[in-house]
Amino acid sequence: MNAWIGLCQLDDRFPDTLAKLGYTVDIIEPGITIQGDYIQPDLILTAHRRKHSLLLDFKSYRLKNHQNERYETAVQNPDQLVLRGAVQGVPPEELSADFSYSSFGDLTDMYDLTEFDFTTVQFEAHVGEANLRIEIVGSERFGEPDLDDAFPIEVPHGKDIPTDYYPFDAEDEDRTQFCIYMLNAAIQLAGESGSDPFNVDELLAEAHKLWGSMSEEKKKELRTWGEKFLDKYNQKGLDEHLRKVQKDDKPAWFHKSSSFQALRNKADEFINDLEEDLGQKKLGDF
Amino acid sequence: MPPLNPTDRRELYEHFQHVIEGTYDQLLEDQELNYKQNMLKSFLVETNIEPTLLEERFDHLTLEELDYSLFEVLIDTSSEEDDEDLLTFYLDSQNERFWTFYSIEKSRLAKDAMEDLIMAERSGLDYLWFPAQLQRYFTKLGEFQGAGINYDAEDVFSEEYIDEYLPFGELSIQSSGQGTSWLLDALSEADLKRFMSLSSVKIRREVEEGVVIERIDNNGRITTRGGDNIQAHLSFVETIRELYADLIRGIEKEGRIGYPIREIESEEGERHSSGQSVEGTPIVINLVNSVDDLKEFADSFTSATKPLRLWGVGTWLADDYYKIRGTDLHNNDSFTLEIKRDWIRLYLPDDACGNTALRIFSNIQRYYDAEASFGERSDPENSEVGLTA
Repeated sequence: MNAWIGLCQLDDRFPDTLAKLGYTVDIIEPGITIQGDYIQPDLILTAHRRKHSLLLDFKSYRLKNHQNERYETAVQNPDQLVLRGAVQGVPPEELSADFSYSSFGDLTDMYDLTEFDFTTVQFEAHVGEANLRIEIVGSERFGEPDLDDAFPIEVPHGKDIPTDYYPFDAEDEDRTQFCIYMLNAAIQLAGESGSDPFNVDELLAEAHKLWGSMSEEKKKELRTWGEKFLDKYNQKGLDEHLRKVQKDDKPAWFHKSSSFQALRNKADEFINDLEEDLGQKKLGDF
Repeated sequence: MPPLNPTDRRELYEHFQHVIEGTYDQLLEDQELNYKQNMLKSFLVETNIEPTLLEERFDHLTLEELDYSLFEVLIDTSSEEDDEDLLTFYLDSQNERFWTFYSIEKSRLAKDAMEDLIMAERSGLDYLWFPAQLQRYFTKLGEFQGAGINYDAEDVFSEEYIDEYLPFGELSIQSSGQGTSWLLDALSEADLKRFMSLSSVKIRREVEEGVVIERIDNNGRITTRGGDNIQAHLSFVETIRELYADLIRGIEKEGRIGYPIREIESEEGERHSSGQSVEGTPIVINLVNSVDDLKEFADSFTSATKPLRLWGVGTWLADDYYKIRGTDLHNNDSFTLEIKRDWIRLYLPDDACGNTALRIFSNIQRYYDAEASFGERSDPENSEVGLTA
């Protein structure tokens, strides 16, 4: 998600390949019904001057056949993307669209997608001279020729994926990210309104700016994570530390930096334990 | 000499006129000021509150309106050890975002009083944070007469970190006179540029209104060492404020990340909120002084201590890529830093103050790498001053 968004931004330290072609982020995780079928692509990018949209679904392992058919319907009826409000700024009858699965693994090795006109884009770390290589695998290509010609995209050493646009998903490899955002959300809420007790949804909304538009399925998963996070957080005594720095009637000078430092030490311990427990993968491990 | 209790803006400026004429003549004559003769100090301060809230937030401060958007501010600095000491400031709040506090109190006392106000947690006030590029631009606004260099790594990094990775824990040089330019050039050629963080510049500025000699500190304090026309000083303050405001506007326009909500229409014709987009880009800060220990560097910058007052928790993204998610304790803005050996990416939310970006950036320059620069794409648009290398 972050890499695709990054490709549409003007960031000195990540390729702006899609931005140069005029693509911008149109919408993230829209839920749309097209001809009676519900789809929720992870991302839609649109190049308005080209009147072309790219629907993206990020997959680690699971593909569902019915999903493939629905995406095929969407691509064959691109006007519906406009009429349903998923794509903005293009006359519906003029829009063309492509769909692509995107993964850190080679999905074409795992699944036979030949009956569909989908591209598959693979991300691979440390390929040759590149920090990251983004390429189309399989035989299908994008319908928009300039977009197609833009691949493969190589991210040289000295540049790296942005990670903050979409800070975490309900995927195991994101647990550490989840924790650092939740810890910071706790500080934010404590600073604004006190800390006792925290509401999981409030913390999640503070931690992830796209919480409001996530699917109920994803929210449910993240809420479960959030509840476990709070349990562990309280077990570690982080709640006691947070009370020392929360907003209250005391004058501002009362909240000494030593209290924040003690909180940070505790938080670091929390993160270290979590990383050991989960054997967290890093970007380069994919 | 007009009364010390001005009742309106004109009287106040008349008083300042005498002050700057007096200090100018005295320095010219004796190269030092008389006892109890102080220079005019103008503190430019960034704010997100109304003046009337100052009394609510600070018990030791009283406010009295003198004129339209002009207030007398009395700050009680007494303590158990000292007798009651009331310091007088004059607040010009005509610009709602950038105020000016004027004072002719002793320099150290005025500076400390302002620091107590500004650094109080969630005071609603902040310094202006002049990056090195802006400081160097100031030297072109008049005849360059002097500079201060202060590299203070030891205020942020541990002794162990400095011993292992940095050649200096502290570097401090004060220079005035025509040799200053030559000195700065010589130090640059000696490969010391990344430690030459400008803490102040001094210029003699001759404009249509008159002449002023100003020292501009890197946090928005302007000390008028002398002059013959207060209007020259006031227009200079306005110039600096506008230059800084342009930088802030540029950052706030492009350098913050927002997630506008999109509405989608269901087949039944109902509109509901579903899905968001993303706008804005992070700010890239390029480093000349490479970072050898990413985690230690990040931890030092987010230890919650003064002067930065940034708190954060971090994690490794890759062996050479570290991330901090944190809070600016000064204003409760959240931020994210991604740190590589030679660059940093700073993400600010769309409601964050652009001043936070300049605070982080100028403090990286002051405490780590005076040659740090914005990436080309991050450079604020429409600003006369570029922040790139």
